Amino acid sequence: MAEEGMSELEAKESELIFKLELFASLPPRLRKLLLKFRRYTSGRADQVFVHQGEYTEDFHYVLSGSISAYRTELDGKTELFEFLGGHSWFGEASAISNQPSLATYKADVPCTLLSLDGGTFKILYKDPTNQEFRKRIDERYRRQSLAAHMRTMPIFKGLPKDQLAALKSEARFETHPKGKLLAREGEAQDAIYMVRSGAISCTRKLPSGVEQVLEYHMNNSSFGERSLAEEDARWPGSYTTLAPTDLLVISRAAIRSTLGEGTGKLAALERAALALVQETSGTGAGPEARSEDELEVLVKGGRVKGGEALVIDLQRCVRCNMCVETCVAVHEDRVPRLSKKGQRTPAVIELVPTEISLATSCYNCDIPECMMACNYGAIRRDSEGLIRFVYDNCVGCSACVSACPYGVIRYTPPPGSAPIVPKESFLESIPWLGNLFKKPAGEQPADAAAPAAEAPKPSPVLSARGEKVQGKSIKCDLCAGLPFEGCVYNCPTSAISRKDPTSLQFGKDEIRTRVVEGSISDAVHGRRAGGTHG
Amino acid sequence: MNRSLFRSPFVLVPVVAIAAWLGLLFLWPDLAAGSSRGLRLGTGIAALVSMLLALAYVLRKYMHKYGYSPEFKLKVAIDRMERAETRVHELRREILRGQHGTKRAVEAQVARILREEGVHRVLVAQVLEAPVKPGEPGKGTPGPRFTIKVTKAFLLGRAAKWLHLHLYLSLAFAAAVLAHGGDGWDSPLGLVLLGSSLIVVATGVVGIVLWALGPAWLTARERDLSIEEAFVLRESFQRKLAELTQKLDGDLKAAFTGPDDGGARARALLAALPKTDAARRVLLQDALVLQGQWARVDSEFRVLWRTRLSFMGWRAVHLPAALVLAVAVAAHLLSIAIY
Repeated sequence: MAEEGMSELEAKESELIFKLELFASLPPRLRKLLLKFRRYTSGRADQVFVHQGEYTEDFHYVLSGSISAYRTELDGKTELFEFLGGHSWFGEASAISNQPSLATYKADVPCTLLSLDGGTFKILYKDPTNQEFRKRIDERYRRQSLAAHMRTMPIFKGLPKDQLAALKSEARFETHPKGKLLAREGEAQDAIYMVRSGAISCTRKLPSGVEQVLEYHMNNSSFGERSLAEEDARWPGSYTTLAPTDLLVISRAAIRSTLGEGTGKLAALERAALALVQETSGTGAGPEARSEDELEVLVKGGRVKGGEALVIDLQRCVRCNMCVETCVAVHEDRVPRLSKKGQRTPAVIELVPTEISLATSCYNCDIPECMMACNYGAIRRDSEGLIRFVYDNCVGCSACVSACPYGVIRYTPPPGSAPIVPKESFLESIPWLGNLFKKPAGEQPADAAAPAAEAPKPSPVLSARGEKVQGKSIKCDLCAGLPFEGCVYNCPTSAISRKDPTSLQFGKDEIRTRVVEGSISDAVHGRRAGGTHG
Repeated sequence: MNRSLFRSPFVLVPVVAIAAWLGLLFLWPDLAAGSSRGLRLGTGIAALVSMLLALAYVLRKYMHKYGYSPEFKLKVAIDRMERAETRVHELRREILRGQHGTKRAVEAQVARILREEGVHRVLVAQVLEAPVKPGEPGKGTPGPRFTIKVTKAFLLGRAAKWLHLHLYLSLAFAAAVLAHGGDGWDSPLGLVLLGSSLIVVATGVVGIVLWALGPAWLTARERDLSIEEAFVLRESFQRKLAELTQKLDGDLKAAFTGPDDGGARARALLAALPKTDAARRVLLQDALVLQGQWARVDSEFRVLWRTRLSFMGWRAVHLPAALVLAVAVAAHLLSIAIY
């Protein structure tokens, strides 16, 4: 198909490309797009194009040569996953879902690939006038990649190959426009969903009428596993698409009929689902429906520290900086989590009108922008309602730092950046006597004990769990594990404290009256402020 | 005004000390002459003990500031904290289901959970009875309602409480010192001891009053920028200006590094620079803008800094006087031991 303005060579190339079966049905508009953004990749024999687990969004079409795909399973065995001759393709799962590559693709002989970036591929795939292309991609995806893709869902992680293969035929692909309500809070759970592309919010309605986001689902995250764990499982919130969304849906009925009612296979899967539900409702990610009573207990009882604002009473603060210095002392990496920068507002503390600063500690927002911005599932709301980082998933993209409207999240210097030299304490700096206060070499961070000749490495920044989080995001961890919250504990003038945000606007009696009247909405709404475990 | 700085049960310590001293004077008016050896010894020990206790505030403050507090050693793994939190949460559910009838049973249960998970020194639990009346949320919930409040243990007590201790024991110390050696102004050591004691206590009293009032003065002046923001911005502008000045050459550089004339020389140089020398003009203009920004922030910072100094400046007298007092007390004790 020669277009106007094309050189002879381009016209020839266009003719050849659109003779290929996969691209033959593309409408003219998409053909132009493909020609504009296509690129050619050539590789010698044994060249690896993509490694298993690598984050790549590129889609590759094999024009010549042959490629073998190898996949290493959880048991460590590497097997030939598929063989791709000319006119086959790979990378569609990664391009659609930002899924790390499911296999390692290695050239058997010299190859030439036609490659498209993820953005271009998604346009071709999602265009409603290009159904033929989508159908071909989906057919092959179902045949070759679906089982491996399903294996990435925690529920199917341990499922034997044959059962996974049987289940994949029951999976159906669904595409929904933005704003589509998929499931309503309290309705029976009847299927397991995996988000292939797009985004879904799970929200619950608080008694005050406020919609609180429990979690977001995108990029291969799944929900609905409780339907297998409990007979009468209900959706903890309403699930709505936030963007055009592609889903993989496997109904509970299909799973049961495939694996066989009352069989050991089904029982094993149900046990896995139960373990997953228990894990996520204990300390992990999953939302958990709560009664009003429970919320009241949690919020008003001071149980949820994260639900309390970190307040600096400016009529009391003598600006001695003890709070920040203690924060530094508490953290082994000597990086303070507290910033005194915050919103200033009039308030009532102990019935006295005053001016306060709401320090930039995590607000555990009802609608957490950071969670929405995170493409890697590294920010979750735990069972207590606190927003937490899952550092295993964090890739250090710092999207959450930009997204947080309150500037609470800070980015730590990446490995290899200029070293953070821990400040020598006053006592350590005393000549001769200071040596008594210096930590022995064994207690020093690894880099501090390194020979002077070696280049200094940055001190590791540690999470509350002691994980190294260099090049990742941090925020207040409530001095996790210690018997005090440093900034509050060491303020000599009682200027900094944790307060229920509602108590800042009303007197104690008024608060009590409001709660007794049954209006817990303010209390619940007040969960917007406080710190978290990082 | 921060009245919380004065509200403390420790206020009874100096009140009792002064009342006791006045009572003794009333009963034995000649005591003031310091004739009784027993009284001198008793008041001396009281003064020493109250001084040491007052100093404990300083010790606690710096132990925490530099990370040497024994509380740091009590740190437990976050997994254990989470397990305890989950179990306490489960207990709350049981309470809501009416499975625990008495407050004592709940207290025992929650204490057991914290102990079993090894977090009992880090977390403390309070069990509060929540009144349930018809019409309240939770109406119809079976069984009595309790609230379990789990908080950090705060083992040593907040620094604010220690400040109260510091303040009121210092007043008791002053009373004890006057009773002990109020007549000792004639010897050099007595002069130093009494003088430094009075200076320390007087500056401390002035200081605490200023701490109660000062933050409001500062907050009233922090309009566009807080003192911290002003400081950071000032430093940032200063650094950028220094970097930019390094790029300037000859007389342009001298205009910025010489005596401060509010940028008059630099502006004159800019006016004199030919328009063809665009690169130098741009550099000079940038430097002038930065200098203007720095000057504005600097003037704001100076106002705030002076205000802060007005209620923090007393420490410049208090701390050296306290050091002198500590040395003098040590010398006094040594002289008693030797002679």
